[in-house]
Amino acid sequence: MKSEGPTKTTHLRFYSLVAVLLAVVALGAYAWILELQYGLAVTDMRDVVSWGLYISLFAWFVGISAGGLIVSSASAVFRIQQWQPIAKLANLIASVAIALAAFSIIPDLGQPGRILNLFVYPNLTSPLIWDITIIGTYLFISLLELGLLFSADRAKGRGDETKYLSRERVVRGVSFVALPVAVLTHSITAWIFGLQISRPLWNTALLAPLFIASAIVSGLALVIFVSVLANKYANLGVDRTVITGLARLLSVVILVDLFLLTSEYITAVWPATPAEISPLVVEFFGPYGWLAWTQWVFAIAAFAILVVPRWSRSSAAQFGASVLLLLEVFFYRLELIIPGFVNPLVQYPPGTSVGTTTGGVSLSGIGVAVSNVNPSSPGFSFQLVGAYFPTWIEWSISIGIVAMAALLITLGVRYLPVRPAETGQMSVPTTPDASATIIHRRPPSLDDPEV
Amino acid sequence: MTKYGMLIDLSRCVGCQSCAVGCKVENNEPLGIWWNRVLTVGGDEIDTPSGDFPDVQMHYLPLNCQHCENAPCVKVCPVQATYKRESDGLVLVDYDRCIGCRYCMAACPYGVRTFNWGTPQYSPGVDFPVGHQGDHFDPDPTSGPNRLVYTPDRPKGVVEKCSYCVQRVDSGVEPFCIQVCPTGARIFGDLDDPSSIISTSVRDGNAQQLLPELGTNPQQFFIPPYIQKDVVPITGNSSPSNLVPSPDIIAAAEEVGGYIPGFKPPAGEIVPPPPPPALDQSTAGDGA
Repeated sequence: MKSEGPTKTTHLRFYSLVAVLLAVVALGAYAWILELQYGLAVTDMRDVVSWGLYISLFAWFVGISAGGLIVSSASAVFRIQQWQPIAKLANLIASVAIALAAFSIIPDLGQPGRILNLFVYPNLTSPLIWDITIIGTYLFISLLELGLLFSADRAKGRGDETKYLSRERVVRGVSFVALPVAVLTHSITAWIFGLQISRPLWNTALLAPLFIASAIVSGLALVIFVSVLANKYANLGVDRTVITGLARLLSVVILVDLFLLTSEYITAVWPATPAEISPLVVEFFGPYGWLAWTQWVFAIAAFAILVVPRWSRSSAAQFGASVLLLLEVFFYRLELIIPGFVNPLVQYPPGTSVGTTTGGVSLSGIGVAVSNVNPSSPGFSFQLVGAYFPTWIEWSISIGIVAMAALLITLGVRYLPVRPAETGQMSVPTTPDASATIIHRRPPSLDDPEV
Repeated sequence: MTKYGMLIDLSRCVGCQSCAVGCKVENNEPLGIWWNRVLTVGGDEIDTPSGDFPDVQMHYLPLNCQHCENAPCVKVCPVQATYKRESDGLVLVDYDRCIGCRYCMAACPYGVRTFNWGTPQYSPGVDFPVGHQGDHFDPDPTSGPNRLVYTPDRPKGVVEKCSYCVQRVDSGVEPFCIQVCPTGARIFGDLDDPSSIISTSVRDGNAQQLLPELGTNPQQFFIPPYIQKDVVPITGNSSPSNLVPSPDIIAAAEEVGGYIPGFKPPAGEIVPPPPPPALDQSTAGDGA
């Protein structure tokens, strides 16, 4: 019915979106081929700032996968029935996000061909190994839960009440596991950074709670972002009140996130000892201070949008706030990682070797330059204060990965039965008989099987 | 057991960079890579002091891998490519196993790890190993098989750092920086042998570790660069009446207990370490 009228434009929109995303992915693939050929010299990372956009993107992707947890697991565990309708969509988003989080580490590796060493020679004291383990688990659970939800829907579509109920019970059981796994996923990702005594900006016990809070902010923002878009352009039919409910929760989590940040700042500022305060000064007043200020402006703006009654119910406002928050959390990742590196603990002239010469040796043809390595003396290979700005290759690969995520979510919304009420028969190739079944129009009322 | 360590007497270091260059040659370090750097603690530029003439201060800090006993890089390496060798406590990198994630570079508090961002480059015309020739595999059986801990041509995308010249130490020869230091500021030896020259010098010279508050417990020690009060500073005028210590310098030295800020004052009397032997065969041979 709904697919009747706008079919043509919808199709056109869908295919042009897929084409655009594929083009961006192709650009990223091209940039990656160059990187594989020339090595990480084509990035602007050097020995002082030795992690950059890729690792920030990794941490951001882990964060945005949190939406799946909140919406599907929390709705099952805490029996929040009104979120059940978008549990499938949230799980789809979580699966895609966590898969691409794992993927986005690969372009950061100097020797991607040796990636299997992670499984052959794992070092159990390394937080990176913990993270790979928990990310694999989280991906598995998200996909499992997604499959179970589809299966439950199919059973319901066939009118197979017993199978439906049993599936729902299993989903609930899996959710009890998914919740702690998700909490651990964000904590361990934080511990990759937070356990390092060499980086005072990272080394705080609050980092895991901060990552959980910011992950929930970005995860909920992404669910809202996709729901609003899919409602508008794919007739997904997510109930407006559900989105508004998520937005309400989101505004609370923003406050928690900002509270944790403030606690962190005040713990550094009040003692006023150089060891505590100088990383914070760099974070806010160093060359990358704009990241921190932008984060705060975006967070407060989004909070205002979500709580002012006149705006809070409008789809456009909710969409705008979710965009701001997705960027806000990305800025937070960058603001942690780059300023964390710029001032090494042992910092005396001439500084740290950068690990390569000006980088132009064989790369001048593709326009790669090293920033700020004492430009007055070419070939000078030391940096006293770290400097970093991603090259076009890093941007292309990163945006390519984001486009890949967008593509997978778009295809999922189109071809997987993620609709709140199971009316999208034409999009469910696995259940041809579903077209014969009842059309459920009131999703929330159907979901009270748990007694 | 053997535990190799290094001691650098900062009072003897003249900042000539011989150790940095010698290290670069011996280990065939590509352009832009320095396993060993001589930092200037003083002004904002290399070889410049802090303060206004004549009240100026400066000393050098040669910096290479500290071979920590509680090494953060070893703990974070996801594939055990960086490991601490059991037989003598050297922290080594297996160039065949490193996946290039650079977690160790984020974890190292001393910033002594460096990365082959691209294919290693050398000066034009240098297409042969200028220093040590041939690959070196770790002979310690507890490290596991085929641990490539030295090779003159590293692949792109792996981390590298000072190995205390493992390829020399394993054949009973001291690290190259020890050999090239013209002032004998560096001593290498067995810290587990209480009567070794390095052990007695660490004790008697009140040697300190770098960033001791982090608890990494380096096997690298430094004798702080004490102000020597009997050295007469030149105060800008060569007339004999001016050849007396500037009152400001004496006051500054007394105020800080006769040491340079950044290092703790010595507990007892300052005893300079004995001159190091040219080649410490007896201790270096233990781990081979």
